[in-house]
Amino acid sequence: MAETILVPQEIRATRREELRRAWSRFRSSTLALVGLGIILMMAAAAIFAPTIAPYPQHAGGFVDFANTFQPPSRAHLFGTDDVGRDVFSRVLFGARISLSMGIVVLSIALAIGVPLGLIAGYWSGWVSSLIMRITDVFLALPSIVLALAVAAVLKPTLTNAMIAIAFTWWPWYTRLVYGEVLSLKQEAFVEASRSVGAGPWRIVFKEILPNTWSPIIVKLTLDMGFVILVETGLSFLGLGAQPPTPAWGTMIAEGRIYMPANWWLATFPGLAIFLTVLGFNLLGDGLRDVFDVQIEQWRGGA
Amino acid sequence: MQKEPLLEIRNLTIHFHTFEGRARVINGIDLVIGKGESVALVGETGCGKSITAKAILGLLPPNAEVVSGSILFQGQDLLQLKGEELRRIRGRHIAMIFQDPSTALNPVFTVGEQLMDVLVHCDDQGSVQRWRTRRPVAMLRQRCVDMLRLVRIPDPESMMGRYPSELSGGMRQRVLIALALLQRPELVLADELGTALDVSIQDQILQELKDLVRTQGMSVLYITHNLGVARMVSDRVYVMYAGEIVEVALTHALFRRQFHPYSQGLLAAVPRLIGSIGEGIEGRIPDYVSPPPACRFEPRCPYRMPVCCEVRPPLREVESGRWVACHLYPASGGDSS
Repeated sequence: MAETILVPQEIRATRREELRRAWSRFRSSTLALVGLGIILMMAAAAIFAPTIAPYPQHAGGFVDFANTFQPPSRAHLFGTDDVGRDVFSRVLFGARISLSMGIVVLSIALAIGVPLGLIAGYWSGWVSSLIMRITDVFLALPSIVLALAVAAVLKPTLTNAMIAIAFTWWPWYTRLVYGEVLSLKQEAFVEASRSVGAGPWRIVFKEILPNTWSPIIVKLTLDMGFVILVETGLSFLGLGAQPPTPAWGTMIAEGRIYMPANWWLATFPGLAIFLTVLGFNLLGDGLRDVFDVQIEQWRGGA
Repeated sequence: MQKEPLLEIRNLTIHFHTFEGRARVINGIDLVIGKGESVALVGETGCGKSITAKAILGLLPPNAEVVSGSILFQGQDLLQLKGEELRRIRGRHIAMIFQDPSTALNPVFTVGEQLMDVLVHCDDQGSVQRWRTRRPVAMLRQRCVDMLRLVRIPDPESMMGRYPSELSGGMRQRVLIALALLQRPELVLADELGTALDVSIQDQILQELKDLVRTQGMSVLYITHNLGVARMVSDRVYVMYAGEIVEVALTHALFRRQFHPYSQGLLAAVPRLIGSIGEGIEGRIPDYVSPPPACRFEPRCPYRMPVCCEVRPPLREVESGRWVACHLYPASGGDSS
């Protein structure tokens, strides 16, 4: 794969062609497009929050007691909260926290889980058994419970919440990759590359790993939604981001006590969570269809 | 007629550890391939042909145990080599052409990437090189394109950018041949080459490979259950039955006359267009866990004698260049049947 840089024009042309075909398959699903739209919108909100937000200074510990509990209006689209901060601005900044949280957690999970899965799958022996039994122990507990326990032991900060969730998330990737490797290592191309002199590490990382990307990407996309859900859960319980950080979970926790009269405090962050999770799920489903088709075509092709 | 040997298998015995017990799959075989010689290893499915090939490359499954014997390649015993040393031999000196072209290529890389990979990581000594000291990419690429042209792939330049799923079975098989020949190995192992293809393409590819190895001076071991293939491509034939070599002869001599009853049966079993379907051989390959004590073909043999289940017939030269393992034939050059 590292050799792609060396590969001239026509190969890049084939790659482009592949992408174009994948895109046309993806496009045929309306729901997947909706999901992609939502995610792009959320990503834009996160990236451009300081410019889009009407009151960027409200993201932190700003107070304006003259403007508390304003209902949604033209000046404050989502209303204002108990200390007069613009909820819309805070929801935009919340997207930053949730998305970066998801990316960091899943990067850690990937970095730990995938190599372990590759090792456990390709080599058999006590190392492999050890890895998989530890994985089983982690998988036996619901990740939210485990994350709660870890977060409770550590100090309640955003970073610690990330660590706690990542700690519970890697086994899923180990399991996924392990299963893929078990079937891929029986493939003739693995033996073929061994017969031209490839060593085991090379086979694992350059022949097998690239073949596992499709399921990993699909799982990553679906997991983004779940990680965000767990993070907001932790924040809601006070084990994640602390006020005045505009994390969605924290905002709901803070706004909850003013329900139902001042409903906008908790409802809009809640809607943001709902939309983001929905978006990632739709996108993930769409991607799965795209990859499945590819796999079926390959397996079916004579 | 014997040329300077390139590969010499001596008394190779391989057992498999299975649930049923110890399976004696390869039972003391001897096989010699001369420089520039094409040898066919013929036998029915399950007789141990592929295991022999895998043993040469050190690719035996983990439950296999080499009990005795040696595999000398250019004077070096391959069975004594470990990890890194063996990897230097693979591909560079001995290459294998795989039988199933639809699975032996990695589906996520282009043909060009897979060919380049082989060259980029190996220098002429076959050892893995560091990043900085690699040779110019354009030169390596040219070698790949030339090789594709050599195996008669039309428009090799654009083939470099294609994925295996975009190619027909015949084209994939050609790519696999190119992949095996890329490093100009001295010995090529062709395991059931072309079996997955239709007959006309198979003929074409075999013919081309035969011409190719001749011009390149390579030696080939064809592993096949198809006598027609053996006749077409090889100089010499080893007939294998139940993990033993039962007859060795020059190809034209074997097809003129077969000595071992198994060879006779094998040839009679080939379906012909005219006349009745061949008779075939009664029975099946014996159980490897508890094989017949002496001659392994004895239970199926139409000429069995009392001695057949007492003494294992050694492989003896019964006429010049022809070796047979059967009690029907005495050791001298004569013929008693």
